Formats: sequence, C-alpha cells, structure tokens
Amino acid sequence: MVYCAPRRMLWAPVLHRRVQRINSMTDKEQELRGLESLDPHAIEALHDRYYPEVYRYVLYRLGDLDTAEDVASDVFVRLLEATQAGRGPRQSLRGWLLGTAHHMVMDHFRRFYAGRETMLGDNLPSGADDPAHALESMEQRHAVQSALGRLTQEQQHALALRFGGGYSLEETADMMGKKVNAIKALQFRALGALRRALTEHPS
Amino acid sequence: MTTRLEDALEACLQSLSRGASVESAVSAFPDLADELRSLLQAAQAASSLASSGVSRHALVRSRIRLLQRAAAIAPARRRSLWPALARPALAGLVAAAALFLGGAGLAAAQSLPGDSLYPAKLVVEDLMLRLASSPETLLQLEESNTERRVDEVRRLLALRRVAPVSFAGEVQQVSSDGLIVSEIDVRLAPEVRLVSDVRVGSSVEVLGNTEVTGAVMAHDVLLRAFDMSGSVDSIGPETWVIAGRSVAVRPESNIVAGVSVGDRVAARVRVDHTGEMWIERAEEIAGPLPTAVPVPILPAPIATQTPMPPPQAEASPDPEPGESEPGESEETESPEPPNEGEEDNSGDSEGEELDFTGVVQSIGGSQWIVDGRVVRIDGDTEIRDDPEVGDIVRVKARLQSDGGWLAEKIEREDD
Repeated sequence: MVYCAPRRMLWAPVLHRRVQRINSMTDKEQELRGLESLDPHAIEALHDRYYPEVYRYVLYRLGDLDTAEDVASDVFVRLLEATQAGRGPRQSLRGWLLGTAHHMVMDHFRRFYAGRETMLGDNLPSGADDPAHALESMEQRHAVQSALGRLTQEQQHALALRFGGGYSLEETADMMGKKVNAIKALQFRALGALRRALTEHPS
Repeated sequence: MTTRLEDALEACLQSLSRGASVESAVSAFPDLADELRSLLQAAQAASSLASSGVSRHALVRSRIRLLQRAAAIAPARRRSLWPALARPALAGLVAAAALFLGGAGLAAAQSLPGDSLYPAKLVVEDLMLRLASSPETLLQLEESNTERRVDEVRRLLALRRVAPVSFAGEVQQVSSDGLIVSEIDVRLAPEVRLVSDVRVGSSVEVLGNTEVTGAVMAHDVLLRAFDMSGSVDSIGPETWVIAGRSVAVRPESNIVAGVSVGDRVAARVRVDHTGEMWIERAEEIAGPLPTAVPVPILPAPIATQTPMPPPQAEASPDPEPGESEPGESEETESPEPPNEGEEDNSGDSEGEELDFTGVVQSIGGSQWIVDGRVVRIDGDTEIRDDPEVGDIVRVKARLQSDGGWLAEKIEREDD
C-alpha cells in the first residue's frame, strides 16, 4: 500500500513545539512545588501548559476525541494525587505525564480491547471540508490507526512520541528512559512493523 | 547494515522535517533507497495521525476537573466567596458549567458578563480562591479578580454591549449625576442614594448595567473603603471611637503604636459585606486636622452630594455646611492640595478657562467625559461637527463656582 500523506504534514508545527519546550530546571521545580502546595495559579498554569501535549499524545494513540479527553484529564488528576502522596515526578514532569498517559492508554486498551474497532468510529478529526475528501481521509486514518494497533505497546509509544508529539530522538529517549541509539533502533523496527501492517491489512 | 539503515532512516526523517521530499531524502542513500522509501512512507502515515489542534472544550473541562479535585484535597480552612450552604452544590455547579455551558478554555477566559461561558469563568475563579493557601495568595487572587471585573466592564463599554455588571474601584470624580470609578463613567439610577462617604478617594462597589452610551447605569453603589480623620474619643479592645464614629479593630488592622485617647488620627476605614466598618490603618497626625469632624454615614440624596469637588490629596470627609464644629471653621476653609496625577487646579479660580484636546469617552445629556475629564454642557455650549464617542475633540471650558467645568465649545478635530 502506498500511503498518500495529506499535504498538511506536521513537520513545521513539530519544530515550533520543540522550541517551546526549552525550559529551565527552575521552572520545572517551581511547577512541582506549586503542585505540591496546591497553588491554584501553578495548577492552572501547569495544566494549561502540558494539557495540549498530553491530549495530542492520547488522541494519537486512541484516535477518539471523547476518550482522549477523558484519559488526558485523568492523567492530570493522577499527577495531582501522586504529588500529594509523595509519588510525583522526580525529574522530568513531561516524561512523567506522557509515561502515565502511555500506561493509561494501555489500561484503556486492556479494558476495551474487544470494542476498540467500534471506538475508532466516526468521532475522529477529519481535517477536510469536502465530504468526499473527509471520508477518504477518515478511512486512511482508520487504516493507519488499525495498523498502529498491531504494533507492540513500546513501538506505539515511541511512534506516538516521535510522530504524534514531534519529540526529538533525545527527548524521546529521555522520556522512555532509553539511550538514543536504542530509540533509533526501536523507531526503525516500529516503522518496519507499521509498513508491514499497512501492507498486510490495507483497510 | 541495520545500524546504517537506522542512521540513514533518521537522516531521511530529518530531511523530511526540513521540507524535503521522500525522493530527495533517499537520494543521499542510493543503495538503501528502496528500503528507506517504504519506511518513510510508513513514517508519513504515522505522522498523518498527529493532530495539531487541541479541543478548547476539552481543555476547560479538564482544567475545571483538576481544580475541583485540588479543592477537594485542600484543607477546609481555605475560604470561599460562596456561602457555606452553597458549597456542597459546588461540584454540581462545576459539572454543570463544564458540561452544559459549552465552555471552551480560552474562550471562557475571555468571556464577558452576559456570555454563556461567563459562569464557567466565575466557577474557575471561585475554585482558585478556595485553593488559596495563604492570605497573600488570596489577596493576589482577589486583586486579580477585581482588575478582571473592571477590564470586563471596559470591554463591554467599548463593544457597546448591555449587560449586568458589578465591579469595584476607587472613586475618581463625583458629579451631580454620577461618578467616575476606575476611569469608568458611572451614572446613577434615580433610586440610588449615595452615603456621604462616597467621595473622591473612596472605594466603592458598583452594581448596574453597561449601556450603549458608554456608561454604567448603577442601581446600587456600595461603600467599601474611605478615609477619615478626627480625634480619638475612646479606645477599646475591639472598637475605637474616632470623631464620634465607632469603628472595629481587627487583627489585620495596622495602627501606628502610641495613639491614645485625644490624639488626632487619619484612618483608612474598610466596610465589609455585612456593613461593619473596621480600621485598615490609622496613624497620628500632627497639627490641625485636615478637615472638620466627619459627617455620619447616612443615606443622602444625590442632590446633596458636593458636585465636582476639587481634587484632594487626602480624601477625608469634607465638611458639609453647618456641620463644622466651633473653632474649626478656619481649618475647613483651608485649601487642599490637588491629587497626584490630576490636573493641578490649586490656582484655579472661578471663570478660569480650560482648553484641551482629547478623546470623547462618553456623551451625556448634561455632561461629557473627554480624556477622563468631566465637562458639563448646557444650552449655551457650542458643539460642532457632531462629535461621537471615540472622536478627538477640542474642548474650551470655564471653571464654575462649584469646581466643575462648563464647556463653552466642543469641536471635533479628527476629520
């Protein structure tokens, strides 16, 4: 199967988001302190800063707007509760959030595995105004989403970070607790598996 | 070989991220081109699932949910503006706001009174007040909310939208038919009766509606803080009597040490939501009192308000005719310095002319506001070129005996 990617490829926003991610440790420490002390300004700021990344990640993995909203919101509630219980992130807040999002997505798949095909229903962003184009786009998304679901959880996590979140190899390695070369190899295997899944199950 | 493929794949992905085509990217690795091409097509497929946008509805619902959870965790000592009886219903209100108001995070933050999202904005503010962990944080939040209310009113007025509003601010000007509060023109509904302490320098809360004329029509003006001065008549553990008025003393009252009965003091007095007056700060003053004994707080018709008082350095109660104590008449007649930031009228005398250019902020039947200045108009005022709100005009006015400016000529200049 030759996949025709939409013209609006997401490389440019990816680069833009990378620039936004350059944060100092001081900021991170302040974010965590504000969370621990239940400072409302800090909670609101932290949520609004990271929610888009978590939401995009979860939506990429699940492909369903409503479920992605629920799971992404759960991630932040879990962060709050973990922080209050002294089990909050020690180093990378973003890594903790996306790692937790990964685990919650897996939990979701475990609970709703049987109904996952139903979950990939009509509630998907089409990104096209023309109905015919929208339908085609949606079918393509379904195909890719289904193919992605045949990969290992680790491969899905890596592709979601690299191609859904736009994180660099180094950032992905940091968030997954692996070395850069390991991520490079994982990415290679994941794309190979995705290619095979798309070829073997084109629809 | 595999490692070389992995490196080549990453190099090609970098090329794609810089805008190169697949063919261009793989051309650097001709011996691996076929393998790389199929991997890059898979990468493009993987990228196609990425979404650049985020649902604003989702963001605001998630934010409210998180703050709600934090509020549940936070100790009960943290205060809320909501009445105690309403607190159990807060979760329901939050859910209702999140689910039924169609809230969108950023849109909610920008919403104005009258918008469907506005209640959600207030719910979030209240949750944040409940979460305030210290008096300082609480004060910051309250100040921030106060500024937000004023900003909302200004935006509504700029948009010429009619909506119910309430906001608090400092009285900057008092005239026969209204006030300027936080640079907002406030007209008084006929039923409104101001207490005499509502004067320049006082803090008030205005309840009313914005109007298309660019003013707020107030149906209530509540005094929140004012300055007073006088002799200390008595000092008790919870109440002081200053110039015949009882004012409470609270732990947060800041009173300069050494004040005793008989001393003369200047005090900033706050009025809480129950109507109780308490001293925010007080200090002894040397020399003669800046004003006579303050008048008691009594409802007074608008007509009894001193129209357009000259700016004061210290917004102490002005004496009203016949209320000065014997022996203090000289003090009450002493001139007061102008307020900082306002036009220096210390040398003004009746008949003096004022000629200035500014933007028309409101147009009323008897007064206009131009660049924050209130100028009265009457049948003799010459108005040229039909100025409207927002126009730049040149104003020639003359000082009247009551301290107000009567416009002789208003002419539009921005054509």
